[in-house]
Amino acid sequence: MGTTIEGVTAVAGGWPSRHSALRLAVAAGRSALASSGHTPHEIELLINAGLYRDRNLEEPALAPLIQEDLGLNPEDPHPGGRGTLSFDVANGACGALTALQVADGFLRAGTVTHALVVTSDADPGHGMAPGFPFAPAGGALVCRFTDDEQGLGSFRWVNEPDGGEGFRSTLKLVGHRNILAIEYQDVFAARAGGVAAKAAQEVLAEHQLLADGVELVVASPARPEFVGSLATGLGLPAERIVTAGPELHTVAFIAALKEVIRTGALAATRTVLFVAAGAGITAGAALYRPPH
Amino acid sequence: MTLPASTQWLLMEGGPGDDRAPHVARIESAGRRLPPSRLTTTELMASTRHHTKIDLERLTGIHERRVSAGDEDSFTLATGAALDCLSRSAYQASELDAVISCSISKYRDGLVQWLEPPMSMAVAQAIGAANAMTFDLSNACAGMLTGVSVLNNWIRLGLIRRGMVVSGEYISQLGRNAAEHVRNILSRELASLTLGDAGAALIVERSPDGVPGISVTGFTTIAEHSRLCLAYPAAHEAGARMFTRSRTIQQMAIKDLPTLLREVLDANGIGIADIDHVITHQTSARAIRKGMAHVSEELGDEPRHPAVVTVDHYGNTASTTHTVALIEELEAGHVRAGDRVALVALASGLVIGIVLFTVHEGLVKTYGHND
Repeated sequence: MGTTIEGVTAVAGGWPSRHSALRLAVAAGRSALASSGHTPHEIELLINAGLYRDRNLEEPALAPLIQEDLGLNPEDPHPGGRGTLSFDVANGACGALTALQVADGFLRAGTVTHALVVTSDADPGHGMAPGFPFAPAGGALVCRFTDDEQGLGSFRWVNEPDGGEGFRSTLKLVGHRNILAIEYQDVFAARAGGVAAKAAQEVLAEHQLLADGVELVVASPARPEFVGSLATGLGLPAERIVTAGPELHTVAFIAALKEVIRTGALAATRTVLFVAAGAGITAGAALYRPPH
Repeated sequence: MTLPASTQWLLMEGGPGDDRAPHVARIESAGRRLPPSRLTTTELMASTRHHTKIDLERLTGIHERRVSAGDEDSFTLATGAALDCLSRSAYQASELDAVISCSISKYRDGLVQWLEPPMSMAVAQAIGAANAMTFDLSNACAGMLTGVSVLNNWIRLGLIRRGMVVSGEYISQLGRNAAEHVRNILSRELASLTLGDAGAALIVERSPDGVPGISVTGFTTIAEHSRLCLAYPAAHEAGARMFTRSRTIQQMAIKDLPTLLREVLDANGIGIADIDHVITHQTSARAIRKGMAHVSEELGDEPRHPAVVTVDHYGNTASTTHTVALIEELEAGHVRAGDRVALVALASGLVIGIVLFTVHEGLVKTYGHND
């Protein structure tokens, strides 16, 4: 029994959505629903893991706005229907993996039957984030619970605090404006890869698997130093680690998952390792057995 | 009187006996951090740039709120609350499996809003929770209770044994910013003048077999009202500004709450009169009393005790509000072991959530009472 993933979608931002994380999340969510064959009405849980959003909105979570725009049971409670809960998680570039873990729990307990995970990042524009380093993009996927042997296994996380030295993102008054500033050191990616390898080893130990038995790793971020360090830490050839979108942030994990679906690599494997690392440093991993 | 129609609208989880989620979670300990400085409504309204003619204290029932004197921010408030919670807990920080930070404000080093790394990691490091997984959860003023529902889910499934939800809200600066802009009672920044600072933390653990704890969590987001309260970083001032259609959001919350409360009560086979204490989100004393009067009218009965009101002296402390009020009741000896408490979130989104739990003896004892 486990949580399976469908309708994996990644969309790039163009006009008029390049400054709207909301529009990108909605576009990705709509596409994920269409490609998975589910209706908005079926989605009982929406989790948004994106960070950089329209006007740097702080309240409410972005998820309720996405829920309304996608039409996921947005109306007042009434007999004969089901509502939807939506909220955001924030865990840097690991957000999509965190959202998957939270969704997995509610699916396992039978609390919900379908969950939608979305994520998007965009430069809010209007001079609010000068030098914003990430490309506008949105990602989404639908999760549901099956009684088969496939799906998500347990998650493991490892923290190695660096106080934000390697990667930090802050909003503060500079002169007379509140400015979003994202700062990172080049050594961060390699360090993050090392932490990610530890999380991955914990998952493998939990499932009594050896690293060389792992045929495919879907990982983010898509930095060569991260991949190299992760591969070394796991003792795996770097070719088995798939990443996508070096210019992406929270969407990178879903984009990598979409890439292994596009190439057929996911369909050709029985067990895939999900790995993500982000600011903190925090890193998480989970095993996934895709349905065939 | 007609009872509200029966619905199955909430994302609802609870009750033992389910093979997939065989355990029961309970609130093991609670902590809070309130800055010592007080700001009265009279003082705040005297600081407005414009002559507003608003009697905010009469409108809201808020006499004063606690505010940071600049030495406290979201991080220090969250960390102070987490340490207070641990001091009342049977556990060491190193025994926590998860730390979830649920604040709206994420200010560190004064008014610097940190988006990455997550606040949860900073708090976990500060309190010594070296073995906890960490992430932040954002769900407006329903954040902490949504965090409780996530921990409840993981504990019921047996995925973790115990975790902490924590929040530090340094939001009095929204009031200071609003004081520069509010002109009259129709201002959309009026609600910002009700805010106060606070930190809060809860440890949720697996309950011993057969011992009651959280009997149900039920949440929903009525997203067609998602744009009734929006907060952004201020354009030209430090901190943030919040714009609220207070009357509409209050009307919607009051309208939908009885239906959703009934759903939770029905799931437990109980009535509203079986609830000892209701702790709602604290926006204004008038709104709380009006809302509870509507609930009683719709459900045909009322809880055993009047709705808890702390907004008069703490203001609206956003996601920390339920924990701050729960501790107030524990300290006062109003809440006893075995009491059934309903924590009711009403938050921007529009989120309505209910956490229904039975108070255990240990929680009462940590506040100096024996039953």
